Amino acid sequence: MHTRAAASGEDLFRVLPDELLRHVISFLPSDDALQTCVLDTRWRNLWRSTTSLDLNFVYGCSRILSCERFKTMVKLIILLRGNSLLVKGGINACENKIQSACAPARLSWASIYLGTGASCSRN
Amino acid sequence: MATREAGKKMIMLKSPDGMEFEVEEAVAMESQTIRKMIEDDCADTAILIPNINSKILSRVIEYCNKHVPTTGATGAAASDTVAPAALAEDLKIWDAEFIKVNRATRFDLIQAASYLNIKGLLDLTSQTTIDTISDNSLEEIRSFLSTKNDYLPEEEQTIRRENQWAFQ
Repeated sequence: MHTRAAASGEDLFRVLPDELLRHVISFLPSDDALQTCVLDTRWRNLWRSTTSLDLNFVYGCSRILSCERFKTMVKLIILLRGNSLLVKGGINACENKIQSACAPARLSWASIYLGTGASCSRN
Repeated sequence: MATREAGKKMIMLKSPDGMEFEVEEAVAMESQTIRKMIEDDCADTAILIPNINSKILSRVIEYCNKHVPTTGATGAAASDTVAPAALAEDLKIWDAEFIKVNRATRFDLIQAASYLNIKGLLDLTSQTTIDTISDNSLEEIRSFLSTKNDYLPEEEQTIRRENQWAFQ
């Protein structure tokens, strides 16, 4: 496999199994990982079963403009992941500026997370 | 020093292109795949590593050599003189230099790390791949990953619509 891939040059990542691609995209923030679904049909659902969940929102710095929007996104990503195994997860919101504006939303992250029944394993 | 060197158990790793690499057992066991072979007594004389050529295998051994935990007398001496944080920082800098390779080599390293089950190397190669593509456009990412958009136009529209909230 190695020799063939090296020789063609063009097909490098195509020959990788889904499991390995999933590992690679586990290093993306979850909202970016989700966007890989438009790459091609093979990638459509890969993001759903990455083993990490990394969601960040910094007021005024994120692509996402409001706390409510971020909250919805977190909820949807967790729901769409279904029962996919999770090894590493983190949800960070409002690391700077106007902490208080987001405080109420912040309190409910844990309940969203647990309420949707995300599978989690210790590693 | 000579006695300690002599006391170390060595393992021979062979690449499919006929090269042989003699490495300390502890270094080889950074690979969980090789560790299992050794623990299952499948590694009497030499271990053939299929699919990984000598160029890549030597890089992998270089990585394992650097990352093998120092134990015993050597380890105690190292931790007496260098703080763990400084060691970790040193490793980070070393990793960053190590992974400055072209796309094809990095790809080979990902495959090798996966086959040999070396978590640190797999994470390093994966993270670097993501760093490489993260600021690129969709088409550039497709090109880097050798994928072709095989969605029908209406399919792609549907997927984008379904996930609208993530694409804004």
